[in-house]
Amino acid sequence: MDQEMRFHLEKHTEDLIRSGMSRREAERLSRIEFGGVEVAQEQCRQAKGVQRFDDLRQDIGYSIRMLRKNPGFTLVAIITIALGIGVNSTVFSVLNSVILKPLAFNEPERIMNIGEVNPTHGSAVPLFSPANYLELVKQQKSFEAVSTYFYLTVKYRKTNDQNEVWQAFSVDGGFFPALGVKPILGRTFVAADMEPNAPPTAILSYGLWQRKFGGDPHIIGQTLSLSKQPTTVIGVMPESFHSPTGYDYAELWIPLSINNTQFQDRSDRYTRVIGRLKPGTTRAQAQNEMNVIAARLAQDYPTTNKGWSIVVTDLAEVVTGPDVRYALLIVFAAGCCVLLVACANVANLLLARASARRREIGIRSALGATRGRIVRQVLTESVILTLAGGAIGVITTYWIIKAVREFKPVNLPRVAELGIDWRVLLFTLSASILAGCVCGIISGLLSTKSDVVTALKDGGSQTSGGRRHARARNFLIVAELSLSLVLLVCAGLLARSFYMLTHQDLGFNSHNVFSANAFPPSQRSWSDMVGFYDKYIERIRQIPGIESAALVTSPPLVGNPISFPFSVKGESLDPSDKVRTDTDSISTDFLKTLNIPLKAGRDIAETDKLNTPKVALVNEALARRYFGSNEKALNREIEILYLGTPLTFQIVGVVGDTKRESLAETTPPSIYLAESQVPWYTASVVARTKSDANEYAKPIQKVLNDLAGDEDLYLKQTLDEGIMKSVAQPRFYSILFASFAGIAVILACVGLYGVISYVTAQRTQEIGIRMALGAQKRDILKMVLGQGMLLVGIGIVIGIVGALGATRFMESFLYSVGTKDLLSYMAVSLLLAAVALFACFIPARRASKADPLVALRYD
Amino acid sequence: MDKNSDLLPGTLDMLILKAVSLGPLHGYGVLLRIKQISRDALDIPQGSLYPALYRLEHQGLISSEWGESENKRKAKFYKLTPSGRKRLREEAAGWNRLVSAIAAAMDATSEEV
Repeated sequence: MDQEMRFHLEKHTEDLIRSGMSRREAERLSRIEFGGVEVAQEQCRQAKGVQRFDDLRQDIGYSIRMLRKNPGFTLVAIITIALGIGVNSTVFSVLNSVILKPLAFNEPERIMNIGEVNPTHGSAVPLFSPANYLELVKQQKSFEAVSTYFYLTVKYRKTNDQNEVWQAFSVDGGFFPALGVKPILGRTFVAADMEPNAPPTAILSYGLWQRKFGGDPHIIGQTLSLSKQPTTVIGVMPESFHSPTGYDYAELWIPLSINNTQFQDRSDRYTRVIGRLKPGTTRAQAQNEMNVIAARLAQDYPTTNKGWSIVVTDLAEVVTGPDVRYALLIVFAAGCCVLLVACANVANLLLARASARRREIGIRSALGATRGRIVRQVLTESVILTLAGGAIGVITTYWIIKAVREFKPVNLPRVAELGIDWRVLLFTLSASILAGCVCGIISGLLSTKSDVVTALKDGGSQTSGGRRHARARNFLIVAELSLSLVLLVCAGLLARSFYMLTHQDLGFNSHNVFSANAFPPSQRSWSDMVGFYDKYIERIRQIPGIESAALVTSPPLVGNPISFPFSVKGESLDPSDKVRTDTDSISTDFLKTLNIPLKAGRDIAETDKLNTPKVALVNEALARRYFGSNEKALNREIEILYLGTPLTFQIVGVVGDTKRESLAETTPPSIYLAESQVPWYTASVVARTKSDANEYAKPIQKVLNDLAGDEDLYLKQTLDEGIMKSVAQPRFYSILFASFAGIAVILACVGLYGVISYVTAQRTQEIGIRMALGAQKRDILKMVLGQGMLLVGIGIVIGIVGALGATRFMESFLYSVGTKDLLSYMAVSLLLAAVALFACFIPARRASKADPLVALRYD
Repeated sequence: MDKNSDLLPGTLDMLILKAVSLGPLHGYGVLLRIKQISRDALDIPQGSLYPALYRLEHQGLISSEWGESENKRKAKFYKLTPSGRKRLREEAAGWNRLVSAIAAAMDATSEEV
């Protein structure tokens, strides 16, 4: 720029010299005639790109002023966007914590889950049997640390008789090296701590340290009484350290002693194993080594290990399984629908305002503003709106996330890690800006297409902005209605499915039944255990208010069933037979307490004792599957591999099917053995009570303490409570989708109301004319309603088509309800139509009540 | 920006476009040519020339290129772009319409009213 002007001055000077002036005079004159060089340069700069920034600042100031002038519009727009973005950013934070964030360990991509699998035995997570794990530890070379751990509870007793029960993990030496997290105080376990006779030690979690010990920095070295043993605290873990299972939360860690009896078991696979890959070793290489080890084990121990292989998977995939990922993605998609509806509403609002500002836009065009400039200004306005809405949305998200962390309404993995991090903020920011751009560009482009001259000539609000505007508005409203309908259909299907789930025949009567689990004093002979159980249940039956009581290993729907390999005596187990058979040891009166019908033969009786032939009851599912009918099953013999020992039982009775592990599955085959013949090391009491079942926790606890000393009852609940807990997930998703659908419907109908109001207001003069020409209130009402309901009708139709396609993705969440369930579709369509009708009715009524004289004069 | 101008707003741009349309020019040359083609009647205040040039370039109506002037010195030359040519035509047409309208008005005699 400088050079150019210098050139100019020089040329001018030369010309003046040529015309006879002296050089000095010429230079002076040319500079005077040019005027201020700096001023000219400044003006040039303005005319160039720096103009952009000034423009932006001008736009922002102007937009803010405009928004402040129309507080109603601004507020509605911001709240709408806040709803849409709030919903989305909440869902995204959950998605982020559960799926996107890496696990809270050191180099989590190197941590693997190692487990045994067998195609005929299904298991959610591949697990190990303890004895096989010991072999793995001996033979493996791919991992720099492997570990197994068990989840248990310890009882903490302070001196003044204050008892608390804490959740704990007992972990072996490889646990902390495998996860790679350093403690914030003290140390982790060393080999000496793992010795069977080592003095008991424990590591506290951050939460426990804060909650119970006030964050005392001198906690290291202090002794606590844990499960009657003086235990020394040797370390505290950081706040961000969470469980490798994703679900179970430990408050402290204690050493696992490997050389106890449970580690001799090779056939029962119930323990998780994790491992950290050596640097430079890939998962594939580790997998290869595991294949070799598995083959070796199958060779060395064919009875227990034939057909089993070892599989190495990323721990992250195991913590957050594919089911959870899928469900969360569906929820995220639903959330996006809500956001789209919100954006459409805001776009409509902006369009309506743009129509009202046609005059202003026309003037600006005439004064020289290019189309791009005006669109830029509208864009600025809408982005400011969406950023404000997004900020509010994020704040709402923060509170919702806090509540979810506290109350855990649904069983999601890694809930303790829920929080707002940079990814969530980035997502919210991008979503806000994107929404603002979309809304702004649409309304900006549409509003500047009109001819400047007609805009200036217009009475300002006379026409409704032309056909193009009307088409856009209608399109947006129809889109909103369709999306709302799709969400409604999903919500309706889920609700119906939940209803079907909870209103089906369970096979037993769960009302007013109390249940609690107990462990008899351990390491006793079978006759000791039977003696204990006999006394236990007899005393319980004597408690006043208990109508009947019985023992069972695992009550239906609330416990974890145990299963053993079983075969019909004489026939070998078909290896392709993938069905579990659940096995319970029950006492007498079990069928009576839970009202399970006896279909053939007899119940367990007092006469079945340890020294009499072993008997069994089977359920109808088993009888049908293996014997053809109930009658054919009676008196047949079956063999069960009970903790490694084959035992033979004779079937003496067939009972009705009951739901077992979940309401959604069909009943698996079940076997009921006699507690008095085959006692299990834990038993649950189920007691039918006359009144509120929870009142009986104390008396039953007392019976237990009288008989077994300082033992506790676990899992105290009524069966009804337990069943409700088991459907917490489907209930949560039902409520979630219903909320999304509700928000979408409200937004869509508010938008519809706005559009109809606006359009009707535009037509006030026309309405006045009609009324003057003889139209009745009813006719006007019909006209406006008709206009609105036409949009609703189109929206519903498109929505139904969309829902038919979209619900395909929800099939896995539905129970006994098809994705094309007519009842649900009809019900939600009627619902939407009704709400929309109401939304149209108000402006229609207002229009029909207009005074024709006033209407005619409306300008 | 146009404080010292005797020209109507917008006509400066039109004149610059016209000047440049006759062949590429540097800033000083535009000044001379306008003087020349207006038969010495129009004298552009030099301070408003360059801002106008930059503005027109910003709007994409003229483009610039560094080159060598007739006395072998480096100078920035401006030439008309296709959209500039189009704008020149439009402005010229509008201007002619305006001029004939005013001329007709000025010719009105009392009989025609």
